[in-house]
Amino acid sequence: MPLRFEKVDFEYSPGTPFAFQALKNIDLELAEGKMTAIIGATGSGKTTMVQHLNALLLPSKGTVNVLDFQITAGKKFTEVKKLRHQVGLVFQFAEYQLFEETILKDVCFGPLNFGVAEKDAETIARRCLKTVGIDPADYDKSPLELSGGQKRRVAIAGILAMRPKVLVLDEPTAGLDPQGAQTMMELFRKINKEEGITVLVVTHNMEHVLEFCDEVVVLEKGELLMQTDIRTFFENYEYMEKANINPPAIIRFKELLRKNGMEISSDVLDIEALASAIAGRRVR
Amino acid sequence: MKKLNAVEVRNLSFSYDPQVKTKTIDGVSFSIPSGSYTTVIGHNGSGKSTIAKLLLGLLEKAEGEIFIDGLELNLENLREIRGKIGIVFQNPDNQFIGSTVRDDIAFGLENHCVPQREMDGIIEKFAARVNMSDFLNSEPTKLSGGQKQRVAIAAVLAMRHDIIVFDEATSMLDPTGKREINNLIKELHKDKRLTVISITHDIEEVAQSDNVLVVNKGKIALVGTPKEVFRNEKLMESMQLDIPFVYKVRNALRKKGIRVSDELDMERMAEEVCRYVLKK
Repeated sequence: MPLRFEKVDFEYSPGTPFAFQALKNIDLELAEGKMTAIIGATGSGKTTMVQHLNALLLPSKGTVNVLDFQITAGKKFTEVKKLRHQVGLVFQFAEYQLFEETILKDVCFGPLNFGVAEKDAETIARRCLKTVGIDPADYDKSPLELSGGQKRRVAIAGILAMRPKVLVLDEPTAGLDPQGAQTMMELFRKINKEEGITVLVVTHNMEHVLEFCDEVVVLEKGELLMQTDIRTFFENYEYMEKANINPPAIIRFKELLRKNGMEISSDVLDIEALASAIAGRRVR
Repeated sequence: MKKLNAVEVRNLSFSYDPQVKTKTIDGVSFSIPSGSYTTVIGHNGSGKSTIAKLLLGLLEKAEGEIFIDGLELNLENLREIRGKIGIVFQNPDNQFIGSTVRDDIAFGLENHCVPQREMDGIIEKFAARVNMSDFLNSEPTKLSGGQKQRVAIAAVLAMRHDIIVFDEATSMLDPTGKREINNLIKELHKDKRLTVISITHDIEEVAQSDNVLVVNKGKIALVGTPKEVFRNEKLMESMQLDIPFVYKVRNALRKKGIRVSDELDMERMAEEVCRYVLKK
């Protein structure tokens, strides 16, 4: 079952002087099993949109279809708990959500909450901590003893432990150093590919979009501006300049080559392929 | 007369916990020329921010000497040193003290007993330099991250510091905020009167700086111009540090038998590649 937004509006504080329409008529379908980037300027509605996927926010108008669930504006949605079991949402700065005495207990919290037996919860927790790369020697430590990047991994393990079918990540690499961010994105790609979990990632990092994602959804002032595959998206240089998007280095470099008379195919998206393409243009 | 270094550090050591054998900063010596744009890079936990805090006298060194503008940092002249060197931190929300932009810039001035009648003029001047004149009476909650960082920079500038340390000042900002602040720092440094020391993970910023200090495990692993530093690719890799995109392209091209110079600027590199390959 895909994820589908049908003519979704969302308004914060409706009927008050602070009313603000954050989403306008969003029509969008996301296929299962893909890794999709959600991009847009600050305030464009990215976070608002993804929070609809596990019913943290309910649409003011329209319908959100997630897996077998249907959330319709004005209708009472009664399956919140079931939905949240299947759609895991990792907030920005997820490390602030850790609260248990030990790392292992923190990751067990989700499964226990959903009625899994204690022993099984622990098995699941251990496996998830392993997936995110936390050293078993640290499982009984307090989460407070870890670095920021490690804490965030534990928080993500806590979500994975609920075995969601959809994983939604809101700026998961914000504030991490480049290496930490890279390993984090590799982890999501692995989860996406090996476990077939649909991944949605809100991000500002175009290098990550290019390297890890299959598809891009662009929001602007609460409206859906475009939904397209990665190659097509990065082909449109003029649009990126207009939308104030800083293209990945390789796309910028290709544009500079083009200005100097060397057109490189839009299929070329990594350095090795670029070097081959340049070598192929050699005049002897 | 020989021009003084903005920062001169000799044999500096420090550890957060004296019980632990390994020192956070271990016998470090370096100097930073006045008016330069120096970047400091290193893996997380390498000691970059600790060095910055030691330079400001926010942490007390265990051993060694620190000179700021030729003046040795010690308890007696800490106030004078703080008049020379200022810092902008990473998190825009953790350094906004005033209830409005005006109050925030005034905070440091008040502490230094600047007369009230001069204060307004100073505040307006430096708010204008960071392009925040229209927001003088705004509350911090009404400002974006980039705007808050601009106010932090104005507050530091208003103190007439000669040296400003930026401790990952853009890492929590969105791309627009990042660009805003990077351009502002470049602009402030243009006349070379200000010494900029920027702790950063942004490899493009490093490529454009005058000098680079590479910190690894509490020691200075490499010092030099960006070209000199990036030449040590193996060493950089072993410290889990990235090299600029153009150097990666250069390496890949070399494997194909295309040899290009060590140009760091992407635009000039693109021109060179086209000239060489297309024989124009």
